[in-house]
Amino acid sequence: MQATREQLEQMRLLSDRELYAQAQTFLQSYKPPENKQLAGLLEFSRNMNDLQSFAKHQQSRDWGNKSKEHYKAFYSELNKYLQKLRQQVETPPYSLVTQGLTAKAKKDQVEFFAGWLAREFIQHLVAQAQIMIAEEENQRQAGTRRTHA
Amino acid sequence: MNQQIKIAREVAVRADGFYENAKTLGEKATTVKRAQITGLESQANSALKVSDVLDFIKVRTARHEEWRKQQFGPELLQFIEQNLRQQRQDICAILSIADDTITAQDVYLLLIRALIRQIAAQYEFTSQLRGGGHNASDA
Repeated sequence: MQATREQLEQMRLLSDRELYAQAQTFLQSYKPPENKQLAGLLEFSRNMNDLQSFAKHQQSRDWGNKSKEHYKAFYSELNKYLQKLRQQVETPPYSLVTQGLTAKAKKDQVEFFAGWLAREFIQHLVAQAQIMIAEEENQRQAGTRRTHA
Repeated sequence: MNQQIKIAREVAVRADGFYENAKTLGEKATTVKRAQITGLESQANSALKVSDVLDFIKVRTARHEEWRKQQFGPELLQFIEQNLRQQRQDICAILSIADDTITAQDVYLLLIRALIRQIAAQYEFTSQLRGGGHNASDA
């Protein structure tokens, strides 16, 4: 489907004003998984259904290793967020779906906009997560250097 | 004077105001390879969203140690997210532009482009003074 100019502008604003802040807030509460997992998230974010399947699969996995315990909580919350996003595209502040459409056309628009918003959110989430991981690694290395000094 | 000219004028005045900050950042950027600075300029010039530029800086800072070496990446991020955000709000207040509009977003992007143009210029200047800087092929 083709978005109108108004819808494109609305999406640009939503990405900067809502989704960017939401990604940062998300990571204040949920520690991100390692970089390989983040690369997977980016890859699957090209398609909303693939992204949700991936997040559900990762949530249900037995992460075993103590250092990966937080992955479950991260993916569980991400699943909830993605489900909510699908519902939110019709309501403020998103309000992206055109009024008065047939059920089929409305479903198509919901899928299109939810997929687009999810991709934007994941892009912001991954960028923020990567810089957090790099900072943590820097601090860890600085701590190791101090211990050996 | 039409709105676009008024915005361009305000952005130019603000850009003169943060020139010294851009100089400092441009000097810190010399730890980064030239291709990375060119990439940053391209990203800023083509971005339709402020978050695209911020995400680009975050990813580069995370992946390349030289972006973190003299705190170039973190300080650039902080300057855009704090100083330039405030400058955008000031311009919007002066020109009666609502904060939640595409015009306000464009003002922010224009400020970012002005800053990064200044950083790139300082980068070239400092690199030459220090003996040629990084090779363009060192991507």
